[in-house]
Amino acid sequence: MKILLVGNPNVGKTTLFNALTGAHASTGNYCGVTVGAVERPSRYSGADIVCDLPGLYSFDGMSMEEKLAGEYIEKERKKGDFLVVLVADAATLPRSFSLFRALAERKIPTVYALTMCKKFRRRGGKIDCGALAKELGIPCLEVDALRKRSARAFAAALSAIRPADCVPRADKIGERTGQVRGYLPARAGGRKIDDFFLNGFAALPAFFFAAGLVFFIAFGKGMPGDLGKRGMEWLFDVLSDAAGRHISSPAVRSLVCDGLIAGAGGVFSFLPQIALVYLFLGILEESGFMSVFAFMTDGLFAKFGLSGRAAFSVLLGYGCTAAAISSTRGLENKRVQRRAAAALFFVPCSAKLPVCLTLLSSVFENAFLGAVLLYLLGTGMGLLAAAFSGGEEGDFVMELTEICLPDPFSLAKKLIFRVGQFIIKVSTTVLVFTVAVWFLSSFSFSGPVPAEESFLARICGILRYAFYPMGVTDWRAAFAAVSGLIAKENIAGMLAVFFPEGISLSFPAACAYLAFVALLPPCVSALTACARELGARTAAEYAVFQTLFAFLCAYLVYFLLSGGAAAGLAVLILAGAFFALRKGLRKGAGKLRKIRKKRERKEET
Amino acid sequence: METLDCLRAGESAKIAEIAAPDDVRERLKMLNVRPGAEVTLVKAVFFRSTFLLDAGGVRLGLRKSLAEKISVIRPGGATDGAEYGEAGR
Repeated sequence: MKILLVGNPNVGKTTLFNALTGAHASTGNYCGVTVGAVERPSRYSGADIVCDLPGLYSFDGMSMEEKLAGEYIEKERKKGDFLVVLVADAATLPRSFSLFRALAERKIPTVYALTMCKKFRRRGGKIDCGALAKELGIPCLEVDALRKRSARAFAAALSAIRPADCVPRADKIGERTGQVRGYLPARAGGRKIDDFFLNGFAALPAFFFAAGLVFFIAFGKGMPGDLGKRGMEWLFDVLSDAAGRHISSPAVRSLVCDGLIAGAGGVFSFLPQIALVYLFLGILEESGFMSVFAFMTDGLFAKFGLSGRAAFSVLLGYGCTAAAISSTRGLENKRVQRRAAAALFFVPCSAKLPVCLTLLSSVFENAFLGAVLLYLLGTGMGLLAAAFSGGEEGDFVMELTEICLPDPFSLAKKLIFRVGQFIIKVSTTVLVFTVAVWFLSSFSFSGPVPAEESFLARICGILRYAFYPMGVTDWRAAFAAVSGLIAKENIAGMLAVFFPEGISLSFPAACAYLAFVALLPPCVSALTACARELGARTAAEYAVFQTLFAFLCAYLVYFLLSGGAAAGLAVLILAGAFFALRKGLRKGAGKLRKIRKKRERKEET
Repeated sequence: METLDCLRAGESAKIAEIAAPDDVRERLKMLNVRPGAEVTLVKAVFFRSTFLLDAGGVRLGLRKSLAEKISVIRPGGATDGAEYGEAGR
């Protein structure tokens, strides 16, 4: 017997499909995720093949999906021995009645499968499948597709059903739109708590409070995230020592300890913080708070090309860029995601801070002031990047779900999945990269050598010419910057190794190098996370552009600081004029387009 | 024809047309916002740059730029202040 899963978009059809067939088809909170009919053999007895159709509201063929589904059902009906499972979210059951009516008119054997009943009941809704079944004339079954036991029971119940008994009668629903015996809708519209947060005075502070809380717990010193990170680092140090003691060959020992274990340690040390970020994001999303915050703060962040939800991710970037970029997964659309990622490339993560402080303290009296300036620089650049990248402003819709307690089970499931994905997708690339850099920095044609004579040192010998215009002539500065790709903390470490007495750079050169380091693209973990979200090409483009930009900025800083204030002022005035002109031209062109469009519209009618 | 951003808080109207790209229209459809459906403007925030709608119990938010693309008809048929001769698009 063939089972056809039919239903409105976003009711959990694909989750049910995955549960019944053991597949891992993509589910998402967007419609259009299921494209075309997908068939797979069933895991359980009682059905041979399960087919997942895209979400639809009717069969009258207003859209491609509906036409396709209608044709598919007709084709199956001719073949015989099939059953339509009408999947409906308990909270929006009345929305499925038009489909029910359509199936009844075509006399197609149907069974109702009601999902998310637990959440519905928690919000005060009432649903009684027995009474509903009597009312509608077909079997009505509850199913929780996320629990194996429920899915198995559902499949068993299906196997006991004869399609011939399940032909709905068109008169059972008629014109009724919501009132059905056995079903009582949950509190409609907003509740007091929703209305409280939908107020500007509550929402904006609440947003920053929530962001601050997540940030603090994940990235604050001595907080769970920080402790987890240090714990991981300690663990891998222990591992490295243990391994080192058991390996006799120095080359192999170096590979295993300095290459593999150090590389793995680098990735895994991110995990506690990333897990915490995912956890809190999950809580905020499942509870409905995120949607309210995103809605209320959208007006503010839209000015920078971001959405409220995107701004949340960008704020996390001050802690860890890799975690923040990973958190952009749930953003409204790819355009917003691209802008958020562009901003995140510039926002200084906490790993950049020690490097900057080290360099700052060797140059400035007051390192703190310098750090503040750098953070402002990074933030400003980030906002500009967001404003100027990603193309045209996309339209999107924010669904506001009611605020309620999140379901711990689905939270846990989501968390485990996301963390697992991070480990699998990011760690492999980072590990390969780390080992590559380790190799280049420990070997030369003559075998294992100290860093100064390695391949990487030679490469940096050539690269150092790129640093000349910023007043830095030492190849070791280039080397340190490259090591920063693995982890930003490495820059400080490498500088300490190469320059035990401290670096001696002129003031302009020190500032230039500082600006350079502050503006460098994020570490390879963040780059990989970005590649995973937006594709390798986009990530590479951003990285290359940003590196070039970092160089140019460093040159500019050196030029300004060594060329005197007059030159600086001239450059600033020119730059300001350039941007103002460009903005003015854009606005003018936009206005012209609008006027022309209006005129065309008037002429048409 | 009036567009969604012309409504005041608490007012309802029926959707006439949505002049947005397909993916946006599908997403709106999923949330009960489609031609023929009735929606209520719950409130407008941040100097009327973001709108909160109620469509058949579903609450959704959209920006002014999208609200301007959704044409609506107020209950009672004729729209006050509508420009005659601007039928359809």
